[in-house]
Amino acid sequence: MSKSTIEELTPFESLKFWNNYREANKDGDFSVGIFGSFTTDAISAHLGASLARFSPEKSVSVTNGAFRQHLRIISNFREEFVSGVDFLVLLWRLEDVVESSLLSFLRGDDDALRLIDEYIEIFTDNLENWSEKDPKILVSVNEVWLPNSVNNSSLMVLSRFSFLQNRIYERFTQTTLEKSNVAFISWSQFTFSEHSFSFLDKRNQALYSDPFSSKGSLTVGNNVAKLIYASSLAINKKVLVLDCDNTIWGGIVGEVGFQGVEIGSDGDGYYFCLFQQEIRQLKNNGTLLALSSKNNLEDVREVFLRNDKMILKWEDFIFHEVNWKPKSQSIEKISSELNILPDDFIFVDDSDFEIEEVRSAIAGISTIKVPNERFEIPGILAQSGYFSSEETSREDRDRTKYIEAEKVRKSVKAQLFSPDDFLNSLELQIEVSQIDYATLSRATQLINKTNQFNLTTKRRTETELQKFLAEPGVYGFVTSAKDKFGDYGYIGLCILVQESHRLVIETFLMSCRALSREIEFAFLDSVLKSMIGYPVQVEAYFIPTMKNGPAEPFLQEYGFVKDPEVPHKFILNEPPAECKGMHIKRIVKSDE
Amino acid sequence: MEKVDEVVRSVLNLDEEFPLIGLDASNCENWDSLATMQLVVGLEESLSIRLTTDEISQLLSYEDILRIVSGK
Repeated sequence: MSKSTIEELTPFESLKFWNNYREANKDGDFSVGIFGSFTTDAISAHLGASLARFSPEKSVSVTNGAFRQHLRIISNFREEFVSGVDFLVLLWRLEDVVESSLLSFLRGDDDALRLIDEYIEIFTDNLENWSEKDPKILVSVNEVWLPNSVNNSSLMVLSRFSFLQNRIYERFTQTTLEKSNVAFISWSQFTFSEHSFSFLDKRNQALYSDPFSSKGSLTVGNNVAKLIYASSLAINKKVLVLDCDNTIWGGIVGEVGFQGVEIGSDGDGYYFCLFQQEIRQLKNNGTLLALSSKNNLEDVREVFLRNDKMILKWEDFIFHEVNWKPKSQSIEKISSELNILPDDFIFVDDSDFEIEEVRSAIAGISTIKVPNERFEIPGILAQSGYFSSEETSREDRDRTKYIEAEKVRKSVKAQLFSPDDFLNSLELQIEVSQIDYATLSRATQLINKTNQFNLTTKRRTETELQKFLAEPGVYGFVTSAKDKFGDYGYIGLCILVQESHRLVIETFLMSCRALSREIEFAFLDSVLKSMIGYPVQVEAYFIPTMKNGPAEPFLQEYGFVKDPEVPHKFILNEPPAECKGMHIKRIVKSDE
Repeated sequence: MEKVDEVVRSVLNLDEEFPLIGLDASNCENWDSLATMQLVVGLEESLSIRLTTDEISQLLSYEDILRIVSGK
């Protein structure tokens, strides 16, 4: 399990961890480039250690760029990080680059401001150019600090210092605010909660050109790692199952009634309001909500329908498991109906008993115990690390809509005579296209999130995928689908590798939301037939995992035969004229 | 002394059997400027001491380390 809350290490423990880790992981799956206006060795080690511990399923590498060459590196980072990076971190301080102008300005020399402005302009122009030509994420961390050599009791110095700080914030935020791949962050965002130690160390500045104390480096490294993890590596849980009493509201509704529960702007109700807002935000970003409460259904429904202080509405929840059954049974039912594994579930409850009952009955589920102190409740989801990812695709945001459409499909299915009647009634249509810049991010998400219908379960970062698809003989396809009940979004991905006279299916996967409709057959058939003209035999592999059982029969059902000599290998000499999924209308977009 | 040995072995990636007596920056390929920085972090944290810039600049051998930390 990966999450952004991990056990804290001391600076030396963190350095030791990184030394050992780096030795054992020479090539990282995920690489970070770090460069700055001062020595970044210590920070890069702490950053690497943190990131590696946040994300144990990925091996991480961190490369230091040349010292004090940040302007050159921004304009041509590929020359500096020749082996490629997934994420860039720039750490700099104004006093490292225009120290004398900075001191002159603070002491009253207005002309010095011109030189500072020139530097800032060059810097922001470089950032601007960067953001337009490269999709990678760059985090620039900086802030003006009051140099030690000026009189920090002087009103003139302090007002000039504030002026300069505001000027830098304004210039940089103007440049970066609208850019999704450049972020501007102030050091103080990392330090405001760290009062118990000295963040800076003049001795380290003098010795190594590193302005930070060992704990300061650790703090910066850990915090930058959190940013990188959230924006590039974290995968959010899909389903949030919530208890009601003393979880989304205070008190027990069966005892105090719908008006008596604690929710609203006063007293402890305020904290439950904040918590409900947090849950609502997750729902808006694509998390599915379900209730699991031991209560009378009517009592709970009444709170949602008649208590006007409630932020969450009855219809925000796709399942309302309000009954007296063990909660594990309710959750298993939800998991089965959604076709989503318990690994993607979070269960939140205030009762140790319920948490333990669910954990012991359902392998892989994650749980959060609601704190006894009400003021500690808001933020428990944000801080849990289960919802760190900022990457939300259209498919994520529309997840509740898909589930509602799926419920309608199921009710239609129940009324029809045969599965074929049902599939025909859907009026399914798929659109197959090659992976391009617009679909790269969703393709990466599918590669890293799909477990059940995934032939080879090969994971790749966006950079790795982009590089792989640029290789000769590699073809990547995605498919979207829609039917008369709604749009599924992009739900399937296939990567083919052409090797002389054979075509290898390197990756083939289908989101669980699109299973049981024969879309996988129509998709593969469309892709292979679009490759006609290649005199090839098609090879595919099914690599079993703990989770991809649903994909096992697929290759043979399509027409592949097992290779008796190579385990897990399947061969197809020619795509069949007919296969499952023939009822699906296909649109294959040619590569332009 | 045990703590010093532990820090030195850990930073310079030396196993338990490797003799530390006579070890210095010129005969240990792992002993570079980054290792010196890590030695300082390790020694200060393990022994709860603070080294001065002068002392750090003298950390060139195992014996130097013992001499400097024993005077703290």
